[in-house]
Amino acid sequence: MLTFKDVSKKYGNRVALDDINFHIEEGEFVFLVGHSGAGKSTLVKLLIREETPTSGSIHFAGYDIEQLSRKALPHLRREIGVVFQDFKLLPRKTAFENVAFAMEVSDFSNREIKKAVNYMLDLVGLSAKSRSFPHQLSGGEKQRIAIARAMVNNPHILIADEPTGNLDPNVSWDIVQLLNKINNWGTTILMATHASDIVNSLQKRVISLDEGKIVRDSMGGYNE
Amino acid sequence: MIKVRRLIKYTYEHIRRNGWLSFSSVAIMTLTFFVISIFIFTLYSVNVILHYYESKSQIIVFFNPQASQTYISQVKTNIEDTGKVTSIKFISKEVAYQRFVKLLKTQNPTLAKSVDMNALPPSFEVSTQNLSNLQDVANTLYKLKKNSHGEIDNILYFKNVVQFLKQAVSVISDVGLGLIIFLSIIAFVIIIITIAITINSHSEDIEIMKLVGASTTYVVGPFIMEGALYGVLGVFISSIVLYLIFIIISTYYRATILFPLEQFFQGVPLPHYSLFLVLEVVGVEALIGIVIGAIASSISITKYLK
Repeated sequence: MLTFKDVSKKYGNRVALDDINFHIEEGEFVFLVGHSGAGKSTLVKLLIREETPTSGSIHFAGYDIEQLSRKALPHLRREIGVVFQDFKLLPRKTAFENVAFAMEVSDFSNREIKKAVNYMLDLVGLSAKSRSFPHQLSGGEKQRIAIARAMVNNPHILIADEPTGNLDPNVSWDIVQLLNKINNWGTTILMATHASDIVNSLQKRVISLDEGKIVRDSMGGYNE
Repeated sequence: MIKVRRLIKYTYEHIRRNGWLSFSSVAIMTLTFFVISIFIFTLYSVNVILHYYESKSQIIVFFNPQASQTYISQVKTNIEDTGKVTSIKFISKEVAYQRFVKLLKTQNPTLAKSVDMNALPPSFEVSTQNLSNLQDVANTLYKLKKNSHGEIDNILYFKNVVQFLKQAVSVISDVGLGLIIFLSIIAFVIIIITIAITINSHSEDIEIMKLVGASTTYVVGPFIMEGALYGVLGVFISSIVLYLIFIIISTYYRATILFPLEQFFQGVPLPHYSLFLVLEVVGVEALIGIVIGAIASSISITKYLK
């Protein structure tokens, strides 16, 4: 479903990613680990086409991402759900509106939006807070809203870039449980993190980056 | 339909969030179109008056009282041959005498009695369609006068009013156009700045919109709509203000403003602003407003998205 083939990314003379090769099957849960600056965020940016690779190719669900036209880009983005460390919620919109926003851009009707958003809020356990604004929500709740928004368009893959980076350990654990649940329902998950305890406890596939290179791609814990 | 509804919703949100900035954009657009409207109607009015004076302006050719009827007929033929004359009226000695007596009767009856009819010159009153024809006919007459042996006594030619009006039209056009260009540039720049600030306060929204797969049109639409709306609002508010001013003047200042004006332009049919003309002007201005607003915001948003 997702293939990186000989992908490199350079910023001037600095090599951010060097000859990256991997393939992810539909329904997998993959951790992307490594120190800060190892290339995790660059890899995510290439995947959502915020950046283009210097060389190599990226195939995802029928798209050749590196060759994608500007016009086709929104369609790709609707197939990929993304969750960030800083949540990226709109402060002036309620929880419901934040999730609905992702569907509005895809021209769904208000009725469809209402149905899907309520379903997603229920799924992440925040139905009761649908009218709350982000500043009225805790960090964990904000991240759940962000996950609901990422999932509401029913994407092929959910990318979580350090989703627990700003959260307490027990709240982090809740978020990971939620991601795991979503994965069990069939959605592919790629989670960039350097939270070793989470990686260790889940024992999933781990792709480890160091200085822009893949140094490990296997099942197991953070350091194996 | 959903698209249009959401476009309106986001545009409204932008404008509401900008508050005073939106207000100032609309205000400057209103001022610009207010000046444009006044300019258009003034130019229209002056042109109507100019046209009237042009059609009324004439040359009067005075003949020597001793000039022969043959010569006078020949001059008439010569003027007619230019093909630029709309009417030639012959004022015989008798008619001139009657006019003269009538004029003096009340003021100076003694003088009126003492005038000899034969001392008054017969004359032609020559009218043309417009001023340049009048000039041509006058030139023909001056040539005839030069070649005559005193039969043509004098040529009077009232071109001052017309020339003054022509100059007025040209000054109004220049000053008005300059002012319009100046205000349009200011309005344009203010809209660019307003939209740039709107974009800045929405940078997070735009980032997230793009992230969740909004098309460029979807992102850009509300901003362009916002700019166009400033233009249209400017046009309509300025039209309403102008209309109110017109109503107030014609209702409350009839005696102090309108009456003296009518006196001044006595006999001149005052310009009539038909509903069609007004709607046409407002319509064209609205179109210009939309274009200025939309282009200004496109410049802003395109620059940001790059």
